[in-house]
Amino acid sequence: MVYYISFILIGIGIYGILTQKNLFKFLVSLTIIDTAINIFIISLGYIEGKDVPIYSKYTPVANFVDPLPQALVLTAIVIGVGTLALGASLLVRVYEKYETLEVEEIAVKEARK
Amino acid sequence: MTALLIAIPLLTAFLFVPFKEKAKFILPIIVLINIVLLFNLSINSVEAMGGWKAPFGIVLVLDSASFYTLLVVNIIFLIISLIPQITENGFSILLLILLASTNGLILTGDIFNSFVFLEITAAAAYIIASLKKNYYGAYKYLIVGSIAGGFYLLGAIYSYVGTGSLNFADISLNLNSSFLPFVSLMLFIGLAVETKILPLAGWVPDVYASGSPLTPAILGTGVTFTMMYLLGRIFITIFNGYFLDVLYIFGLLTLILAEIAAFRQEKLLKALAFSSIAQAGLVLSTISLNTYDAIKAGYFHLLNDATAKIILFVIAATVVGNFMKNKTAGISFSIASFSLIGFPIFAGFRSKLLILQSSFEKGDYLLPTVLLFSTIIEAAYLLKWNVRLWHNENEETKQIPWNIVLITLILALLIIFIGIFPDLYLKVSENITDGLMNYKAYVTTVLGGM
Repeated sequence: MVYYISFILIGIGIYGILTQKNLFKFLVSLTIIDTAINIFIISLGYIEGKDVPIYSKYTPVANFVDPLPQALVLTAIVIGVGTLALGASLLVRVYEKYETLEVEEIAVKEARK
Repeated sequence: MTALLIAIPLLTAFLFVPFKEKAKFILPIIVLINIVLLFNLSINSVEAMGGWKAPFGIVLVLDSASFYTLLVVNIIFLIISLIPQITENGFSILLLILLASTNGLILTGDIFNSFVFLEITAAAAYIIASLKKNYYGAYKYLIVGSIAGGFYLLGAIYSYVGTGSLNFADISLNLNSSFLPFVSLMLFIGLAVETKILPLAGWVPDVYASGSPLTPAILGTGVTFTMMYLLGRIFITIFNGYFLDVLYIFGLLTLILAEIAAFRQEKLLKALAFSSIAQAGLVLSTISLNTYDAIKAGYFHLLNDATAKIILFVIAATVVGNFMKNKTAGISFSIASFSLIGFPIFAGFRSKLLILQSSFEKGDYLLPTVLLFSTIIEAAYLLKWNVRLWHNENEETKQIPWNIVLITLILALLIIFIGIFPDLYLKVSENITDGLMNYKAYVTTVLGGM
């Protein structure tokens, strides 16, 4: 079942954010969570044996999967990419400022300031 | 017409990308245009985007609650735009985007649309949080905020599965009751980060205490007010009071833990950031009592808190050294902190009294106990900071610009005025409460006479 895959992926992402010590791995975990949610939304609209939701002369009867989750996922993907780019650019700045991405080393440098 | 409130700031923001320096001057004009436009719109109007009617398309709803929230948020943006010194070059464009997305968040009647605006608000907030080279704090905010956004999306999708619709009014009518616990939990996790409820508010001290006056002055007032409105809209109007007892507990815990944390801080800005979390918790638990008087008192206190917090954050971040050379700014700071504690004749006294009254009327004694106890802690640390700032031997004091002094003084006088004649703020919060509690009217306005 696709549901299980997406919930396992969400679990992996949350595990990564809770246990990792590297800032870049946070971003990776975040992306995994985003992807998992997108897979979940797509799988909600899927109906076994139905067609792609496009009207044409080959599909006179509207025997479609639910198109709305797909439209939502498009928007969610765009937002996710935007957040990812913003996070990556912030990471570049963090690296320029502290010259490391490890949480503990940054904490030491912050405390020394 | 309603859509112009979102379109004008967004369009201006993108038009002014090549002229970053000039955006400073256009910001107050745009906010003024927005406020004038707002007064020309008729209340209880629904605008269907692209002509798709209510349950199918996205609608923008202007009822009395969203009208007065828009008014408050736009006036906060106007105040911020009148202090251009605190806005660094290029950040006026971000303020324009933030204005567009908060306006959209208040107006929208569609749960997926509210997710989109929530993410735009959050993205603008992450960049504003990175002012003064505070990239690490902004990055932490980004991680927490994006995960919360994901949970909000899950909640929105589950409500779609439970009703077959994304429209707020349709969800409140038709949501399958077996979906309610999960949907409300997910939406609460999503909103708790932005409304600063404690287990998820760990980013607040890092972001607010970056040393930039703009970050806390806009995120702690305008954005918090918007999020509190959205929380009220979702949990009071749509879910009709369901799940509010859980929010009550979280609000109380936030109030007391954040006050204790604020007491222990060594830096003024961090103490104020924790005090901001605590006030959010107080407002949340007051709102979740779910009676007319309680919600009115909650939003009244939120207004008072926003007024005081603009003064406190702007002055605390701009004044270096003591208040003896900046007496006027010092007096405004003291007035704002007394209002936050709740001394009589200041505005905070009125709202805390109303909160106590409404919770006693509900027969609830836990909230008054916690509120009075936390007020003692609050008084202790705010008085400590006042004494320290008036009487230290720091010689490096520099003059602060006249417009900051003037605007904070006007706000401080407003606090005293509200403390004596509270009708102005009470009218605003009564109207917000009317719009939020009258859920039948909301549903009929959006879906037409059903």
